[in-house]
Amino acid sequence: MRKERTLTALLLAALLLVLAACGNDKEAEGGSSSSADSGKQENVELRMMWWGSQSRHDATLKVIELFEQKNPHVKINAEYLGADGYWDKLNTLVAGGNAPDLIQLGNNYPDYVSRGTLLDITPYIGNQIDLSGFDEAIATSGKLNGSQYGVNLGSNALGIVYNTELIKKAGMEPPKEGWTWEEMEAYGKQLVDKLGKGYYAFADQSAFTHYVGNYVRENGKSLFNGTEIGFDESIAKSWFEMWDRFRKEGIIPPAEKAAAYLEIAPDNSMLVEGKIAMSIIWSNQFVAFQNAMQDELKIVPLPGGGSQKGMWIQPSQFLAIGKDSKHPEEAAQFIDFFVNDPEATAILGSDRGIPGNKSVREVLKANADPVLLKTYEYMDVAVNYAREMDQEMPNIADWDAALRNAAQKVAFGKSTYDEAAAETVKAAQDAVKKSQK
Amino acid sequence: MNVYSRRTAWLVHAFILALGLLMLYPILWLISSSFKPDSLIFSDLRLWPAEVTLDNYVTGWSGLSKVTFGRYLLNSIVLCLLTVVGNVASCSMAAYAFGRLNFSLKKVWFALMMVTIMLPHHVTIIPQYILFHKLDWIDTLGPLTLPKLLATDAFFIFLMIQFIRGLPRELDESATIDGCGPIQIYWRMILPLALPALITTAIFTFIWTWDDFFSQLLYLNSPGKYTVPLGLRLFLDSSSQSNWGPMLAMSVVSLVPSLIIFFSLQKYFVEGISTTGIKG
Repeated sequence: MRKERTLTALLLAALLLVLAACGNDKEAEGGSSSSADSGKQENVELRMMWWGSQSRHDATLKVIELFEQKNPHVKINAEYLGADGYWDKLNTLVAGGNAPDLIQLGNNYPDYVSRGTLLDITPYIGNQIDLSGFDEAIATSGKLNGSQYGVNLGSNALGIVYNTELIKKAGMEPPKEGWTWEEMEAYGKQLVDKLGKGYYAFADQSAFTHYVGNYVRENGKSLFNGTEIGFDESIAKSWFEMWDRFRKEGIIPPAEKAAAYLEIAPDNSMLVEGKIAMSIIWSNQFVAFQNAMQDELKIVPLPGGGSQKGMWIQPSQFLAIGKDSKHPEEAAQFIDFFVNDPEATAILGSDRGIPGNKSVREVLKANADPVLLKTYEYMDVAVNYAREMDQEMPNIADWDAALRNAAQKVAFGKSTYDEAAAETVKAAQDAVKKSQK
Repeated sequence: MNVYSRRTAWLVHAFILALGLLMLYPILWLISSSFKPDSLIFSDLRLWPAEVTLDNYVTGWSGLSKVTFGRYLLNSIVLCLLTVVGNVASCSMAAYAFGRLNFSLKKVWFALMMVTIMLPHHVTIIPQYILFHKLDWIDTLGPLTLPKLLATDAFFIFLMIQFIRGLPRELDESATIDGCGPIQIYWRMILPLALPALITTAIFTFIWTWDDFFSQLLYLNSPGKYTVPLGLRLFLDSSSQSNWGPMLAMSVVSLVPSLIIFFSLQKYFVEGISTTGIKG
């Protein structure tokens, strides 16, 4: 009995120790933060969070260092990670009330606006943040319902990359800009005929959300018009029909093969393996695709032929300020530095897309290497085929999954075009509805 | 007869070898790709690289601005050692209590503990995060290690309870006659006898912590505190450029500690199996 009591006592003591440790930590931390508050004009600490890979991390860290040198009272704690897990972590931080001061976001920023995560930075535009060097369309791309929530860090456009070696091997002329869907299909047929078995003209990208977006826009519609979805079942049906025809003609890989390749990055791509000649990518991925293979790549705009221009210039990322930031002014200053300062922008280069500031763009284009230069030149071409972008569909990740599902069902002959179209439209409506609750 | 059985043996061995090679293929591919230049990793899928380069190891190890990959390895090792110590100490105590001692509502507590195994991880993420945030433990090793001291890994408790229940109670009784109390029985009898279970716990804790990505991602913010899984992910971003070469090279490097641990403790693994065979 006595022994057991000793055990209980020991356990209690251990528990107390742990609790005491927590208490201490908290007090110590509380003390330091209150002292930071009392010395207000001095020593500002900001947290910045972004995703990327090595080159982006290196460049961004250098820019932060530069900013700290020029503003010695500001310290920016960098929290950077790979793309994997970024949204999970951000969502948890937001839910846990610990959002960073500076947040890198994609075109999903309206989702975070509706959750009340982001600060309305309209008051800082023209004061701390100077966007006068930006193209009008790019400067306002972080706007939602009349308020600015983020500043554009770079722009992209969709494009068709093609493998010049395969096309040379087939003895054909490279594809020309301004082609229509019919011309593209005929070109593909000819290419497959000449290349022979095992080669395909295009990747199966019937499940690429923004490619669908381009298609519906050509027909004067939109994926999302700001309040509801802007396309219907008939257009979704013709999309699935068209891709299934491509599949039957053998110009895209059969379903079993295509299902194994996502074709959204070089690591999982038949284009990189040299088995298909053309694929749709974002222009800022061009350098990565080229680096992953030895055959030379070139890029042309997407097929057109509808009543309207389908393409658009897409902001790749935004830098936004968290709503609970204690030092929004310094954060705004940093954003300005990030997009306008000649030194900073030279360090950052084009990793986040083509910069919005015109003079920055001129400098970077003049210094671009031959591969990157192709991206810049393509952007100049793409503008001619682009019109104003639509707001991104809310919860587009949900729709993306549903679209992939429907497209695969069509590919494997498990559902009719009508069923797939109905499923796609329903999923889009659900995704939009989810954000409006 | 002899010839026939030898032929069968050959066939069986050939089959097993082929199966083994098939399973090893991803690892062989990993190792071979880590020596390929970036432009060949996904375009040339042969195992024998056409061009061999050590660049991936050099750039991968140098890591990102001032933080080398060695730092991530060190952080991971420290984290793993702390969790292993925490888990082994606390789970064995809890298991001893459930396996040997009598206390009120024992069955209820046991059931509650088992329920925590079945609770999906996702349910607790946000409440846990809020709790640790309020305690100001974010960006420290606290959330990742201190809970281990409270025997939160119910799976290991269960594993050790099963093992301790298999130890003969007569040993406890004779120890009681020699004047041991519950603590001394735990310390002098149960722990040494349960060594195989402790080592199993230690190995699993090590490997699971070594591979864990999400909780480390969540609670560690400063790159200087990043661990291996986070460090590896820093190379990847599918929306722009991924540095596959260095990532694969560092993956090979990060396999080494796990392999060392496993092979150096393999002896105990085998010993554990033989003693569990005769313990009843």
